[in-house]
Amino acid sequence: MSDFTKPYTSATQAGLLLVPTLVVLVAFLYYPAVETLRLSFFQTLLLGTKQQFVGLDNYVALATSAEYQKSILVSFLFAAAVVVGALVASLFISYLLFEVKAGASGYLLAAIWPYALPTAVAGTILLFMLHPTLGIITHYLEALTGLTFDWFTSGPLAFFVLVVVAVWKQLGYNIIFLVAALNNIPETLTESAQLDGVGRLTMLYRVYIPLISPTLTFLVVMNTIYAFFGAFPLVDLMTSGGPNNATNLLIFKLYRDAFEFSSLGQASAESMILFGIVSLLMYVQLRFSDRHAHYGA
Amino acid sequence: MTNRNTRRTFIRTVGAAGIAGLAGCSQGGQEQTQDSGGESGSGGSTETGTTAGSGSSGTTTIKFWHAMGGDIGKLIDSLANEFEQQADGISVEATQKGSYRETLNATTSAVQAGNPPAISQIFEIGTQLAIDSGVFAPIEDIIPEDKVDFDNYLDSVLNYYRIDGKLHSMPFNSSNAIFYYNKNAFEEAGLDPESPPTTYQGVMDASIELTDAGVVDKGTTWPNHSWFVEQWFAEQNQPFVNNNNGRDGRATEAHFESDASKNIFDWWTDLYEKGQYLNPGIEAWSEAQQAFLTQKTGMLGYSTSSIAPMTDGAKKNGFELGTMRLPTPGGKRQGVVIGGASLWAPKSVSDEKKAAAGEFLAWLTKPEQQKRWHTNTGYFPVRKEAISQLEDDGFYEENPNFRTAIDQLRETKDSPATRGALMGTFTKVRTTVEEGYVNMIQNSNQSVSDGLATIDSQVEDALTSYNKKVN
Amino acid sequence: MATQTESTQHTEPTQETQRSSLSARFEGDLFVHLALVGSIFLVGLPLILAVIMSTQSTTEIYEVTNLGVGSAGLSNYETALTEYNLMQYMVNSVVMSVVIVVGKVTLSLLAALALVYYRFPYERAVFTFILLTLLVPVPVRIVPLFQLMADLGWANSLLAITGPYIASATAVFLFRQHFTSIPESLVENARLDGVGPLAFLVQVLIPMSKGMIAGVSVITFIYAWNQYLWPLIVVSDQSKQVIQVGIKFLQGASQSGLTEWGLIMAGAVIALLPPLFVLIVLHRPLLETFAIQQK
Repeated sequence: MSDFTKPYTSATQAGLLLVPTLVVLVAFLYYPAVETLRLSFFQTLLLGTKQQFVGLDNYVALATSAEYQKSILVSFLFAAAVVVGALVASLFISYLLFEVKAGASGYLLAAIWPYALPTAVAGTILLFMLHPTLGIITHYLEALTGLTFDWFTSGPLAFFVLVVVAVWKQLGYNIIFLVAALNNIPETLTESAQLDGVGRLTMLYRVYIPLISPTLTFLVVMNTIYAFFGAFPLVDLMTSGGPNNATNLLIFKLYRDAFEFSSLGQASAESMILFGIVSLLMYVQLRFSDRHAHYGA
Repeated sequence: MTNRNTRRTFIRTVGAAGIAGLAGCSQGGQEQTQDSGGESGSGGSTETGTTAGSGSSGTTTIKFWHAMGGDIGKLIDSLANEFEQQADGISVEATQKGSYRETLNATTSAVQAGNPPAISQIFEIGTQLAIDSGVFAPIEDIIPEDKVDFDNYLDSVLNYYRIDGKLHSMPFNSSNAIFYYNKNAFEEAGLDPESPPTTYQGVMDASIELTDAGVVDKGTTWPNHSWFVEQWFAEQNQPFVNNNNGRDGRATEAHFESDASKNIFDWWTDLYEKGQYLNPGIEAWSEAQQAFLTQKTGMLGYSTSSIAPMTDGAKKNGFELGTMRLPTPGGKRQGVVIGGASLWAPKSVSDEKKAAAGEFLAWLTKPEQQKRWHTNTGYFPVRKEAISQLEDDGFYEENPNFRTAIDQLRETKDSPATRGALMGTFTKVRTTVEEGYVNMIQNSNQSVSDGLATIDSQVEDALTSYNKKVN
Repeated sequence: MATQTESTQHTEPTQETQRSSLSARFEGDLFVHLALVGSIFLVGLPLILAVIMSTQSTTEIYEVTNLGVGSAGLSNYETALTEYNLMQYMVNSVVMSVVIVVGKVTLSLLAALALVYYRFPYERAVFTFILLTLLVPVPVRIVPLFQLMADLGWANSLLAITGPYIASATAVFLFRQHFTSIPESLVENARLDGVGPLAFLVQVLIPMSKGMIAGVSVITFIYAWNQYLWPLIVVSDQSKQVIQVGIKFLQGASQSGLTEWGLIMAGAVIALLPPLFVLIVLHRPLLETFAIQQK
């Protein structure tokens, strides 16, 4: 933040402007979150029809659960793979879109339309197409490579499939931001670099990436949140956390504990832990980018 | 209560302020709320919330939440309509609330929010959980006694849902597991299409013949679903869990290391390793069905609930459908466990609505309705008369596939094993079994007994932690 | 990839460089086009298959080698829209999404205005307070939220499916970042002219934020459009249900024991149209100024 003189000083007015947002957030996000915190100290039946105070029992049970530890590990690996995969792939496509001379908007729309497909629908459709024994894409993939592609029984393969699908689903979102950021770069900068005869990849790496680093930081954070929270329907529909918990992401585990295994109390504790993990991660990411992102120009 | 009301008032004030900026939409929303017949327009008061919507107009509207999609859902709609036409002043709003699980969650949430449906369909394995939750009224108490004679209901169905002598829910859609097979494929492979296998070994042999003849890709398939395992436990008269399958007290121990259990998993993993079991995925009903109907496999383990559509589907895909009883190890046959779902009535619904719900349920399980229900789906009629009437009509002669299911049910000998297990944490147990099987076939170094030991201890952990909650 | 030089429309190349850059440009462009077509094909493949399958009959879909337009034509679409009421669900979803977009953009603009152009105590804390809401997982929130809706008397109404979504950390964050990049001179002018805050917002900030507003609208629309779990639970009246739940209903539809994938694919394609329409309409302003700047 620059410290330019702010034109308005009435704290009351500022309060009024903020009230609608704050009220909605307090009522619909903070209040349920506090309720979640409260529930995390309770043992519950069904969705909380019977509640019994158990103190930190839920947290203790989680801390000692091997399944939960694996779930944390898997979630981190998944987030890392999705963030890197989604950023690299979308940067590649965005750069092409930025460079292309003719038909840019047509290409752009073609590249981002899968983003408009709801995650839940995407999961359903992709499961049908990628099914190990019945899917059409699997059929051709196996015919082309001669390999078997049984991701229902192979943990690493299931993880891989999930990462690819999650990245695919997030591409459009990233491309929208990246193309806009690239288009925002002053033309004079591009020109002078080009006159110096700098190659495409070097341009991207040396000139563009530093210039769009605020957007990249934003996307790293948003993609992290997506990987931790948003990829849930894909797990639910495609792998159900398996095989052997290889895709048992924290968000899926907590959903399943709450809604399938009727342990809302424990799921609430998981929810608080997830909140802690992601906040910490975001803090680290923002600190890191504060130090390294290039905010010149 | 005072506390809660204060909070509620606070929340309402805050909420109103929050949407002040959206006055226009808020208006629309209010209107919509009122359109719903006052069911949810009652706002702050839980007590009046449940009774609103009935009253002076003379028509009692009851909500019926279920998990039946597609053709079966439409059948329910038309049954509800017919009931309305002949009932006096009762209207039934039947709504599909997604899967069984989603229906249960929606119902529980609605109960807590003070606005539950009058009738909710809950799957069989939710029975103990539903009782433990304490939010449902035993169905025996709300059905008018003069309308229903429970002696006329199928014993095996009553045996499942009657707990400690009390019928908690109305049996509605009940099914078993049977095997379907492709008669044409059997014939092409030189097998006798009229005498399908009845044992584990028989299925293995037939599978090998089928694939050797190149008729199908794999011998057989069925969803990787714990339900089949439970059925095979029952056939071998082996209870799933201790305390007489959880019916004489809370289950605390599981029986996955029993011989019966080993028989099942040895065979199932063997089938997979020999390339004879097509793994459609966990609880993947439609994928299994697809594999069989598109003739990738010669046999299919499935529910009896789909006999009607399956017969039709086979015809469309150019083959004749056969049904066979569940194959069992060495031909042991104690019987099968009832599956499917039953209908529950939340306690907090007004008495007037409860009475209306009782009327509807009594009507729905009359032989006439049950015959239609049975012949259009394959779910069992829950009334004995329905079966005998159909027998008299010659229905089973014309439709031998229905006969297999009924025979298998009738041959079932009552025992703790065939009554089925009661566990509050059944959903978790099922997931454990299904994932346990995947681990067995994923890791060929691990022996079946090791896999079963793991399942056994995980299930017991789940039982222990559940029992802690309810004690 | 051989090309080292790159010409753009903006430069006026000299006679000499023009020739070499022309061929380089051709090569470079060809590469760009090929790479784009290739990646777009890969990205779009599942959807292309979905469109094809939506025209096929149930039996045709199950033939993996059948990749042509099927015999069902548009009948799957017709069935989905009429028999399965998708039309009604689409209307409900459009209303819901538009309300959420308008509400969220309005509320977030106001909040960003306060955050950037007002001096008030605990600014930083308020902003952090807003940002933290990004981290509360939705599934567990659902249960308390449902009770809250019942307490407010909102269950089963438009308010229930829009209210909880009309404020958002992302939108406030994006507007705030955008406002901070608006030249100070403009702000200074407004201050000297004594323009009131709302007039300043409408006359200066909004015209300068068209791209950002378009961007937030697109993202919000798609986010709102994709809601599934929450409407499923909170809307009990089937005629008020939204499109994503409607598609779920299609999955229960089976014909002679086979899931009607043609119908599901048609439903998916139908559900894709409104977000696509929004994208098409807004993609130009979106690309002009929708970028995050840091000051």
